[in-house]
Amino acid sequence: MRFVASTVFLTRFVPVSLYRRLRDTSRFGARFHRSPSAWDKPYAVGPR
Amino acid sequence: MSVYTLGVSAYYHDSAAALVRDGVVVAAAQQERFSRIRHDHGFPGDAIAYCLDHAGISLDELNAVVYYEDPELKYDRVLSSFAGAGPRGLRPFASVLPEWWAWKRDVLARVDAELLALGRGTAPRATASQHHRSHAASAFFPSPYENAAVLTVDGVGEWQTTTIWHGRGTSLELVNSLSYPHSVGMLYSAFTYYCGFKVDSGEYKLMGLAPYGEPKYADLIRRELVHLRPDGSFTLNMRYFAFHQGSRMVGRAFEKLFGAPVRDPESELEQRHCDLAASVQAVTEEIVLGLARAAVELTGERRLVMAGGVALNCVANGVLTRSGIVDEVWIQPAAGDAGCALGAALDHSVAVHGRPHLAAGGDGMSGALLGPGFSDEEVERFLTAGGYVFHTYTEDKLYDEVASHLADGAVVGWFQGRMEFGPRALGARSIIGDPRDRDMQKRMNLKIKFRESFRPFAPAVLAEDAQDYFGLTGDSPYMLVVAEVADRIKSEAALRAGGPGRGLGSINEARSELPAITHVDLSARVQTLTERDNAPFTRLLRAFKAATGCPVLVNTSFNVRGEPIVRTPEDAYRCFMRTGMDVLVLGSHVLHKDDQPPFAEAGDWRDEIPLD
Ligand SMILES: [Fe+2]
Repeated sequence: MRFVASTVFLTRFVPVSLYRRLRDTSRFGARFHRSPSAWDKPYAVGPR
Repeated sequence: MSVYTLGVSAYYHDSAAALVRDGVVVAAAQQERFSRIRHDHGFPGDAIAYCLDHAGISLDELNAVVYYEDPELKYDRVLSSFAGAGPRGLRPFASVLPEWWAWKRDVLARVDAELLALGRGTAPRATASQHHRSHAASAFFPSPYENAAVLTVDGVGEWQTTTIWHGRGTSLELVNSLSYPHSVGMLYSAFTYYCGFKVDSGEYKLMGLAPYGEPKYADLIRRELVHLRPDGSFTLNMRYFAFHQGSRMVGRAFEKLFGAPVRDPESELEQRHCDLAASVQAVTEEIVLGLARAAVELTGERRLVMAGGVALNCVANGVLTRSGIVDEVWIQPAAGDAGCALGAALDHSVAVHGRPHLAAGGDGMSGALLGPGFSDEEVERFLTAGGYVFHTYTEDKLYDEVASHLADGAVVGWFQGRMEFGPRALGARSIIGDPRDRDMQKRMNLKIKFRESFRPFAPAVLAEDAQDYFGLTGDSPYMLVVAEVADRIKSEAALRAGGPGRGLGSINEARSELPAITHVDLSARVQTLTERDNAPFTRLLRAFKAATGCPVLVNTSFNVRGEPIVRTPEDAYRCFMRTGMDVLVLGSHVLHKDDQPPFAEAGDWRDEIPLD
């Protein structure tokens, strides 16, 4: 199981991770950290 | 016929079960109290069995079983987290994922199987709620408010780390949320880890350390680690953190930023650790205030209810109650993940049965006294079988008897009625003493709790006298709000200094008339008491006030450091004999240490109980 997990990780997760890091598209990246709001939905004040 | 719903939280941290009958919580308990393993995260089989026994039902009579979170959503987050981790995530991935594939993704089947294995009939198949919905339900549905803004803040649930809901009657609607990895709980735990304490349990210690420090690093945290927005939202700068990679909480960049590696748990605490604690505490308070402001703005409600691990930060809660952002605050006493069991069950039941407690006024938590209780006859059987020496008192004599021992300086183990649900002892499984006694804090820490002498104790005060002693803005029945002691009882020296004395050197000065419960920054974590919430403890306080003029007692949990709070008379007796307690009260029975037969144990219990 550990072997399977390691293989999956190296072939699938590392490339995705590098791609996201390069494009800075991840919630973990710097672009999100600089965005004006971090709320999951638009911050809408007023009667709903 | 009554309709029963069982809520279960398990397999992560502090497993628990809760039983709701027709919209009313009738029983709830944490598994750790039965297994005697602190924060036990196994299946809460004993806690469930207790809930069933309490109601006198079998699993067949349950209408629903609700698990507190959604395993598929959580799996999704775990995968994404690793996709953000980079090559460093390999090892943790290889050790964590097989467990997910083996059973965690299908955790509901596991719950079904474990329930069946209890041999108490067949339960309906378990369904899943969502983590923060369970927290939110635990905060809103039992609250005393018809409508309220709901704020939940913790480390992480499935994806969400912070949520705002609008609670109206029996409806609970998600308004907005923040998601992983951006989390106040993780931020606080990162500093807990960095200061050498255990994550998920050492956070209290960090909070206790904060008043000894100056928030010297708060600006650095705001500049580098956390980006706070005017709309209350925030992000963590993941350059500095490593919790998403699976093995450590903080990365090398974090250590470099603060100029030292993670503190070795065995090494001395230094002033800078106090300063770090004060700094992350200050930033946490700022974040919580921002979130509360957002909750009010987004819902238009002036009453706020809270749950989630961060809602146990009673210093931040105190700041919030005094901020004027909200008119009233109610906090679920089991704000951590144990409380999710209760929230999940209530959420299911309230939809059909409403919130019956609202008609009676007050909250629906029964003073948090939802655990097992023991009758005087049961206690007597236990004491007689063991050959222990005890005296039995009628109710009117008992309180005066115990009060007089307290006034004479005795430390008393106080075991009454049903056990508390949640992390705090609220006067059902408590160790109590005279707060006016200058040596009480040191004695209780060193001889009874066997822990660091800096750790403060909490006061229990009669609600009607609370304002005379503490700067509280409302009630604090669950000991979740910190307030300053009133000027009236501050010592001359404290008043002259005009502010709190800081630094680790100032631990043992008398700062007020009640030195045992006055923290170094002249604050106290207050529990206010009423007959409605806890009649025996309130009557004891009345008797103590009649004997001494003081309506306040020191109230600390009935356990030693590292051990779960006691549940049974046997647990209580063992703890009594192992420690420097003078008197033990079990229901109507009073035991004196000096009268007891010699207490011999095989081995040293201090080897059995791990340090916390
Ligand atoms: Fe949680």
